[in-house]
Amino acid sequence: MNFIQNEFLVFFVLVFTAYWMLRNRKLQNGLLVVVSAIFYGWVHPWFLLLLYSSAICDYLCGLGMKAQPEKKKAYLVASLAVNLGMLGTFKYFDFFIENVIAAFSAAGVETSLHTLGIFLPVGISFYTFQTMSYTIEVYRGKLEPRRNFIDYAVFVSFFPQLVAGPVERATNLLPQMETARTWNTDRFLSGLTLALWGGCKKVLVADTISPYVDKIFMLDEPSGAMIWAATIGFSIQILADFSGYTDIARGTARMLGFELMENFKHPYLAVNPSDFWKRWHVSFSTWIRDYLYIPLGGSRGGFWGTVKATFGAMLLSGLWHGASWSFVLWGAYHAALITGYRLVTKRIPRSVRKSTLGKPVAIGIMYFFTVLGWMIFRETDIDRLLGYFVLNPLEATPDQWLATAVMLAMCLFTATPLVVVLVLQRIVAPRIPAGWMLPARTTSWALCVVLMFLFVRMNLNDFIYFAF
Amino acid sequence: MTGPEGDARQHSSWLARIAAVIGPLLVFSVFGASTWTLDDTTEKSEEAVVLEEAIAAADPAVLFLGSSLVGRAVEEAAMGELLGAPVHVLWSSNAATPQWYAMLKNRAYATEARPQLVIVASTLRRMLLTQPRGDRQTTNLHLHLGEYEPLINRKTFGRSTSDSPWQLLRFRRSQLKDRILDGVKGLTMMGLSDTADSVDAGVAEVDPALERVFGGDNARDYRVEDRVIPVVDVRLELEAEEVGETVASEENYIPDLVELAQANGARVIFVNLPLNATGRGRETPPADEVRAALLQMQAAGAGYIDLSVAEDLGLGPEHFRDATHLNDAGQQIFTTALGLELLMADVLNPAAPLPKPVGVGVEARWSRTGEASGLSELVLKPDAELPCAGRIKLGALGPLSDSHTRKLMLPTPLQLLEDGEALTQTSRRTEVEAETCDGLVYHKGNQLFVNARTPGEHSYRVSTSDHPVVMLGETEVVWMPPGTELVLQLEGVPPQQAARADLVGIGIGDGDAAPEATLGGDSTPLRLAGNRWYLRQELSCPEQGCTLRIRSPADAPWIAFTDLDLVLGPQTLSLLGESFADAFENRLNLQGDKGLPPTYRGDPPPLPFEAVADERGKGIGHFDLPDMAWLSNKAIRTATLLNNASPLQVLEDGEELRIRGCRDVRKAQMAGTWCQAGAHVYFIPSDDTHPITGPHRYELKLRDDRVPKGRWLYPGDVLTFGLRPQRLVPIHEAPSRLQMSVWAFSPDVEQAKALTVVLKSGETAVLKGRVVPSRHEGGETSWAFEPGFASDEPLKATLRNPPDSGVFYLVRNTQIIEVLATPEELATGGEVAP
Repeated sequence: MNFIQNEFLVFFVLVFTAYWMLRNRKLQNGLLVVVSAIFYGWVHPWFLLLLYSSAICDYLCGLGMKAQPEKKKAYLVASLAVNLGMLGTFKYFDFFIENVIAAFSAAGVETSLHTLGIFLPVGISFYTFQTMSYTIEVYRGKLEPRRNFIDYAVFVSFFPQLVAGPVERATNLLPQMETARTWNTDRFLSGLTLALWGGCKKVLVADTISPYVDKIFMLDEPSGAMIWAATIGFSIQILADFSGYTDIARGTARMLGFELMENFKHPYLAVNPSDFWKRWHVSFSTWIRDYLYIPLGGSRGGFWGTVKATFGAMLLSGLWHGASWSFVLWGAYHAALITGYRLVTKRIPRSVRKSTLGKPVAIGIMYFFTVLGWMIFRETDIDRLLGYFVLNPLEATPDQWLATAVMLAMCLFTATPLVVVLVLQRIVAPRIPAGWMLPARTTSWALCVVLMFLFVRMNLNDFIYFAF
Repeated sequence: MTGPEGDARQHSSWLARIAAVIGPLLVFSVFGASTWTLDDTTEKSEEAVVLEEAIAAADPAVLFLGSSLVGRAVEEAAMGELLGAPVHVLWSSNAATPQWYAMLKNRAYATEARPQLVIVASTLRRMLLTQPRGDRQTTNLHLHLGEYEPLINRKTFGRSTSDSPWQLLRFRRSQLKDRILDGVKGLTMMGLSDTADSVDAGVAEVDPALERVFGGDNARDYRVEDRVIPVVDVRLELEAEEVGETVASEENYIPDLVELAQANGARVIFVNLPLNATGRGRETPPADEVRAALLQMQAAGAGYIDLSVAEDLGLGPEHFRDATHLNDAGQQIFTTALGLELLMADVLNPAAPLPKPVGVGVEARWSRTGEASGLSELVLKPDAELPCAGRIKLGALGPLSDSHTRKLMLPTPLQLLEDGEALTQTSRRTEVEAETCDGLVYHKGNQLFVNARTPGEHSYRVSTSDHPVVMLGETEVVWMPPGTELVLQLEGVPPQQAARADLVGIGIGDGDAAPEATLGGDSTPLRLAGNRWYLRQELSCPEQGCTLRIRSPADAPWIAFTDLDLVLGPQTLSLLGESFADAFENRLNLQGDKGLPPTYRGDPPPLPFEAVADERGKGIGHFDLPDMAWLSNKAIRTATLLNNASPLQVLEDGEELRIRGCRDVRKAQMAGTWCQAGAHVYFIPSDDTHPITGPHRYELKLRDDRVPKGRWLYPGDVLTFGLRPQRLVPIHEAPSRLQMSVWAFSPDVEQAKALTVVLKSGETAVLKGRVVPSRHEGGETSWAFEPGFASDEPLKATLRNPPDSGVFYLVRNTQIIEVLATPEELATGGEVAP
């Protein structure tokens, strides 16, 4: 089920009503397990098998670690093997086989190997990472393994964040699942506002600009100017798409009494690559930091040790996004950016960094590098991608310049709501007297509803991060 | 709370609550007012006025009706020239059947025009949809509705009507959205251009530019291409969304369209448009709906032409700009093909019958009489460990499951009766050799592997299956045991069309007597080539149907009929299997990694042409090639633009310029490009310099490398390619032929026949011949080998283009084929007609 579907609206209204009528935590959790299964298995019920295989495995491994502390490591390995095995089979098997065939072929050896055309189950990358965080935390002794399977199952399958995150930590979400919830009108109103704004970002911004971006990336011979304009458009699309999903997830969870992690903190205002990863897909980047980067040595191993850990973490982070070399390249690019920044930053005088213009210039430079990264991310054909880099961004026919101008105008049009809301949140909202928040909210809801009705596309696009 | 401060807070709180209601109301009101001010649907839209003016100006005798599919498929002028009558294509993008009806009623017949023939051209699925499939279609439908539309209200809008508030809201919502997005474009243009003094003027300027960039042959279906981010399920979602619900009954618009046209003096033909493989999968309704729709058309008195199989028209993927829309090259080919169909059917002659739907109502019924001989009681050898498993040796019937049948996934024609009751066939031996007792049988070679229903002793006997047509997976086959008679009843074959039945089967077993086919009183023996039995029988079926009987003598082999095609006029209806050709062609391609890499000898000849400045366009230069104008015919232009297969190259100071369509070169003046149109090769310098007096030097050369999708053979070229001998092993049991598809580009027909081929097995020449391609286009030439031809030595073929031939060849495909050769063909052993 997709958040931007009438079915979801009906589904959520029914779930919300039944949920708050129950008033008993255990019953509420039982309901959440059932409705989450309906939500996830709506199109392909067999996806539930995978979800619960992963969940049950980690649940048992958690209990096993407590019962047999001397075999903790074996249980951890079993949990990682099952989750990574599932991920490897359903997400990377065909990619692996394709590359083996290509390698054999390059060596002049014919092989009867063939890909299996395995269908990628939605959200598998998210929930396997989430459940792995549970077993890792139990292994590290930071979390007690849970005996109550229902509470644990809600943590694994909680429908608002199941298919595209945030990748929640057991330490954050599980305790909330085990606590009684009380109705809070303010929390409900704020959740509703957040969810509606998320929907608006998806429909008004992401889905409106995506056809323009796709059309340019589909051209056989786009001009350099068009590709850069389309990549800027894509930077807006992917931010609005993914953060829109997160806002709906956080908003709906908040209406049900849960607080999910903040996933986006205005990433295009980042001043350097490290800052970008503290603002973009925060739940995932902190997962990578805690469970991959630091175990790989982090910044403890001197310059080369840090470089090794950075590249290791970022390459796997890129591969997590999809079974394609372009994603690996994207990860490598960001690793290189982070490493490059570490080398360069020491040579920039503090006075320059702290000057009035220093921050805006840094934001501009970082945005440029982010957009360059999105070009690598968006173009899945490596040959075409390399072609883009040698295109002169200032070369185009008169018609292509017009198309570029229209693309940039669409960027401006779709980015405007994001900028306006940022200004409202940071400057206007703090100055609104508490009593006047209600009319501000109801008016913003009406505006969101009207804009969504106006701009919704009948051939609905799934959220981009469903693919990962 | 008391006191003035408390009062003020209370006052403010009330005000905030009122504002909380007024705020949203204000937003909704502004939205309502914005939509309300849009055009009223009862007023004629700008698009409607434009369409009417175009129809009135054309005053067509033939009116094509449909969506962008027909807009892209039919070229008005060319079609008019072919038919010798004015033609107009009335189309609107995103149009669905109710809109076609509305356009015909409210646009075409609102003018004085009264075409003789209305051709509704689209895909069959879309002809059966009654609902607009999204807001865009709803909007477009509203643009063409009249004030009173009872039919559309009933069939499309159901209980709500086209002017119900919800429908109007949807319609106006789309209009408002379009205006906002157009506003963005228009304002952009106003900022960039002096001539765009309003948003509308800006849109009018920018849209054609965007069409040049994204339209025509540059257009792609960006939603289904691989380069789109691999969003999960996007294809499934698209299919679900685009499929829509087809209506194969009186409730669709087929009878209404016909009735409306007939009431205005026109006859109607429905044309099923070509689609590429992806589109065909999406746009083909279920078989029963197809049949129902075709019968509906026939009953309404409409004609039907099915041109949906693109490959039959010579349309390949390179002729489509997306899954359903043809590009310019595809449009030319399709227009000619449809025009010829219409001419052959003499459609503008009111007395001539309209082309009937091929295959509508045609039914093939099989029945069989007699029982195969040699089916005696059999003995089961039980498995030592498994309670119900065992094996039965078949003896003479063993070959019924041989490598041929297993390769084709044919089910065994045998039923194994356990105590008189048939066991279930399985294709997995592991299911039979199991602990359980499931009543299964698996046939492999000379043995039946049995899993009995219950442990213990049973009696076993084989029988032929009751029904002659048996299926396993997707394979359908008619088995004919020796000593039986097979009856094929064909009903509903259109009487006015010459018909022919092509039947192919695989012979299995030792028997060699030929079965005989009888139609009416005449008897014809089936012919044998390799292990294939085949029959090509002319049919002249009366309306009540005809019956073809095939009698198999007791000493005939078992035959598995895998293909039956009914050829009706120019079209083929496959009643069994997939196609006549697929049944016996076992293609082995000599190109690519399956063969030995080709090698060349010879240098391309120089081209002594001088560049001159073009009079019509500043900055354009051209070469005149009066003797080589044929290099720019349709076939080579297609190959040139899409596969970059041109043998020419234009060099600027030794650097190759990019090849583009002439529209880009001559109109858009794209820097650093070239194209060929007729006897001229046009080029644009890569900078703003003059093509002749500028600093660069331009040369015209032939490419010295070759293209991947075919091999150029210039005069003097020798091309050698090889085949690993083991590649021939799988096909040594049947007569084979070497076949090649070659395009020739030459000044005249006679010169085109200069290419020779020699095929050697080791050092022995096994075949010598001359390739006979048609001039400027592909022709296939084949040479048959002796039956059972095999080679232990490497095979090497050499193609020679004599230095003085003056002909350019493009070798497109070369293959060894296991083929069903006629005895005459085998007897000649040499060149056969292409």
